[in-house]
This record gives sequence, C-alpha cells and structure tokens, in this order.
Amino acid sequence: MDRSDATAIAASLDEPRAFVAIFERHFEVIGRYLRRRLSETLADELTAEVFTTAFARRASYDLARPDARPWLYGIAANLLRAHARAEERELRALACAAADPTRSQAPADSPSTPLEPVLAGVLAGLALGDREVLLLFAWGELTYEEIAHALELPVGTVKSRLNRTRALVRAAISTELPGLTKEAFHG
Amino acid sequence: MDELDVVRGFRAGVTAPGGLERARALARLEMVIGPAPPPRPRMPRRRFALVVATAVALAVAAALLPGRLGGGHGTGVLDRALAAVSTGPVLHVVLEVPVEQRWLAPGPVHVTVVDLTTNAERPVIARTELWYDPAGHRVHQQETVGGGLLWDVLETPAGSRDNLGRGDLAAGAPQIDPALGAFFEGYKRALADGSATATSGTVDGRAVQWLHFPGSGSGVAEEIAVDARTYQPLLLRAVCPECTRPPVTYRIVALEGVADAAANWTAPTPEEEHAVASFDSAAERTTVASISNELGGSALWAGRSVAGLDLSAVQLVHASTHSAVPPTPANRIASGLGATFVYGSAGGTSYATVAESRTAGFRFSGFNFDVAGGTVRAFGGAPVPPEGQAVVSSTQSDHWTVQLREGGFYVELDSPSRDTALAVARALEPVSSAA
Repeated sequence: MDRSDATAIAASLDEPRAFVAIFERHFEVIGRYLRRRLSETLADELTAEVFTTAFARRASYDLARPDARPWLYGIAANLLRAHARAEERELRALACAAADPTRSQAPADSPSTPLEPVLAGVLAGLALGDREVLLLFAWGELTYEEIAHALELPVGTVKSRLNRTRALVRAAISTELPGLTKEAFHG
Repeated sequence: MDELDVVRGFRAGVTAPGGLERARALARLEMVIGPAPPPRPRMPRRRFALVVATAVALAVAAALLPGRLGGGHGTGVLDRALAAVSTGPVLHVVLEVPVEQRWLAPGPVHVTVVDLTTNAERPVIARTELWYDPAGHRVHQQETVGGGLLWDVLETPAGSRDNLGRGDLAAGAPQIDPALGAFFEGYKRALADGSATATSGTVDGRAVQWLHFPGSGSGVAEEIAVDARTYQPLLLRAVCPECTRPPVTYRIVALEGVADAAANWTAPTPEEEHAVASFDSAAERTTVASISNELGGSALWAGRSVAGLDLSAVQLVHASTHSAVPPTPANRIASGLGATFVYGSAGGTSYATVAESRTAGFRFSGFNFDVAGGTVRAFGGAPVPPEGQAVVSSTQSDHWTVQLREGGFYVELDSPSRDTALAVARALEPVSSAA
C-alpha cells in the first residue's frame, strides 16, 4: 500500500512533513537495533537522533534506492561511533558476569544462556568497524551490498570483514562451549 | 549450529522502543520538520506535541502572564481572547480533527466510514484531551480515534505510565516534551515582545480573528481562530509557507483553565501485555467447494463474478502470531486460518481481493487489522463499525481498502478502484448460500 521510501524522501524535499513516513516505517526497527547495541536510555536518544540527522541529510539521499533502511543504519553507525566505549564496557561486563559468579553486581542484562557471555566477549574484542559489519548483517539483515552502502565501504571489504568476524565467533564458541546446541542457546 | 545463529540470538529478546519513546522521538523530529503531527498508520498512539504545545502555551500564558498581554503590546483582540480563556491553574485542552487530515502519506489520504446500504459517509474523528498542571509538573493526555481510547498517558515528577503498561521514565523533573518546552518558551517571548498579531477572517461564514504566533527557533508558527464576537477559541492550525498542502486544522472543543479538582488525574489502566512481535502466514490454493469446510464455517465471497471481474483464485491461509522477530515455530503464540478470494488479476490494473478471518489478530496479505484497547481497529485506528458499515481508506489514488465485519468474519477488500471495492463489499455473501 505504501510507496517507496525514495518517493517519500523525494516528496519531503518540497513538503518536509512527508519525511514523517520514513520515521513511521523504520522507527521500530532502528530503535530495536540500537537497543540491542546500547542501554535503553542511550539507544532511544540515538534513535531520535538518527531520524533528525536523516532529515537534515535527505537531500543527499540516493533516490535510486527504494529502501531507506541501509541509509538509516549507516547514520546509526556513525552515531554509534561516539558511544563505542560504552558499548564495549557493557559487553565486557556481560562477559565477566558469567566468568565470575561471585560478582555482587551483575550488569542490567545479565547473561541467561552460556553462549551470551562468550559472544559478548567476542563482540567486545572486535574492532568497531568489524562489529558494525557483523551486526548489520546478523541483526539488521542487510545484504553485503546494503552494508557496503550503509558504511560507505567496498563490497569486498564487507565480505572480508564478515568472514573474519564469523571465524572469530565460530572459534570462540567451539573453544569455550564445544558441542553446544541451539536449544541450549535459546534456553 | 551456525555461528550467525548465535549472533542473531544474542539479545534477541530486546524489544523495540514503546509508544512513549516513539512519541518523544517524533516530537523531536517534528521540531525540525514542521507542524501538525500525523498518526501512525497502524498503531496511532502518539502525542500531538506541537499542536498541544501551542494550546498549552496559550492557556498557560494566560494563567501566568496576564500582565504582559495587557501591557501595550496587544491589539486588544489578544487581551479579549485570553480573557475568554478562564485562568484556572490546570490547563484543559480538547482538540478534534478528522483522522485523514492528520495522516501523512505520499498520496492523498482518505479514511471514512461508509454505510453500505445508504452510501452515507462520515469522517473518523481523532480527539486529543489534555490536562496540564505546570505548578505540579503533571500532564495527562488521552487520545481517541472514532470514540475508542487508543493512548492514555500520565506524566508526573515521580515518573510516567501509560495504558500500554509502560512506566519506565526516570523520576525527577517533569518530562515535558522538548518540543512543548521549546514552543512554550517561544510563545512567551512572542507575548513579551508583542510579536503575536491578529487579523480578521471568516470560517464557514462566521467572523473570526486569527491570532498569529510566530515560531521560535526550529519551531513553527501557528494560528488560532477566535470568534469575533465571543472571543472563544475555535480552530488551531499551523502556518507552513513552504508546504504544498493546506495545513491541518484542529477544532478546539475546549481550551480552558480549570480547578485542579476538575482535572482528570486518574492513572491509566494498563492493558494486557501485547505479546505479539511478528506475524507469519503461508497460503495454499484451494477451491470454492472446499474453502468453507477448511475454514470451519461458511466463508464470505462475492460470487463467481463481481463488478466485471471473474474469480481467479481461492487461497486457504495458515496464519500465526509470534512473540519474537523473526517468527519461528518456537516463538509461535497462536495460529489460525484465513481465506483469500482474488477477482481479476491481482496486482494488475483491475482486480479485487477479499481476505477474511474469524480472528482479527492475524496479519496476512491483504488482511490488516489492529487490536488495541480491546477494540478491533481498521486503517487509521478507526474501530471496525457494526455490520452494514465499513471503513474505507486510501493513501494513494490507485489503491483502496474496505474493512468490515460480517457473518463472524473480519474482512478486508483491496482494489485499485473505490467503486469496485465497495461493490464487492455489498456483494459479500456466504459461499454456502451461493452454492
């Protein structure tokens, strides 16, 4: 029923309020993605920032791309850079929570499965650019080409980063938790 | 197990921001882009931040700054207009607007309720009611569409809660929307420097004075029409010279200062948790002869041919709701059946689809209802009307949707033609009676 994002963005150049359609379509998915990356309060703040930034930059949007999701994820990635340390801090806290059962203060989202602290440790140790590619692929469900567009990288770079990070995750799981099943992960 | 599965499962239970966060984010966006707030297409619980901000500003200014208005800046009209607004400590605002005017889409928007027998048509009205206590730092806002409560939120210094069960704002200072606060400050400045002005005009043949309030910073200018004789506020609209469409005009039902005891500070009653995070469906071809047996009751169709379109396909739909994204068998909440009848060639220039299910809670191709506040809602949040009436909607000129209930089914009809969609709605009958 809805027309493409590109149509709405093009319309917003003459009629700014047409841009609200972009917000309506993508707020939840961007908001949820950022909440998976950061604390709720900070994530919600950044989500609002993503859309105000997108509106300000809409004139540069490539109207040949009907889906604005990669573009919005790219803006989110830029904003996330300023909070990379906060993200790593939370991931390390999650990784440590399971490693040290005597911790008196667990982080807000304490691990509920044995895989979570392992993965948190891996993610915390990744370079920000590598983490971004992995999570846009796994959580954002973007294609190689969409990630390349979002992060302004060559597609080949996206593929190599993804291969590298997948190998790191695979190695960490097989080392730390050999034989673990999917059911165990989902608890 | 694939390592990507592991990554996908990590923090998969994190939920998207809720209605309050959405409203706040949208208010921030609206501060940048323009005036009147549109509703969400599918879950229109949200705050009318800017419009309300103006109304709040008017009455609060009347309550707090009466001396400034009379101080030689005013045109006289402003003084009398504000005098017509009682100055109780709590602002009470009620605004109404046809929902189709608030709704932004790339194409023109239509949302009306049509009587299928008489063809009589009426708009679906969205109503916002707000109480604001600046001294006590409290705001209570209720939003209804078509008479049904959609969103109810109470904000106090101790926190905030709404009817969606959210109560997670930090305690402390009152959490007024940034848009509201900024707009209020801008309005106070306008009062102080005398930049608020008035001009004569007419509305529906009635003499009015339009009070003009300039925007502040990235805020937008707005106007309020007051009756030229009584000075009662009548209409509120944004001013957007660069906009190509006419501004949304809100009817002011109430704009008054009331005693605290007269205000509504009743905390919202949380609705049952909405556990559905995603939908899934799979369709299989079937026949007219067997569809009713498969559905467990006589399906509704429009016959072998309707409005010049022949029946081209019948599908049985297996639909399900899920507690997470993406939908999987493991996170399935409920499953059920639906049916789709296709007339003409779906996706072509002339067609009609009839999608139906006894349960409005599912979603599948051509079947899009919401269940909110215990009410089944059609496009735009309009409650599904009684049998014999239908919600008719469109957000672009070449696609029309008719949603109704009949014979125990919720039914959605889609067609490029409004007339065809309504003709199909009028032709609906049980398959069994036709057979």
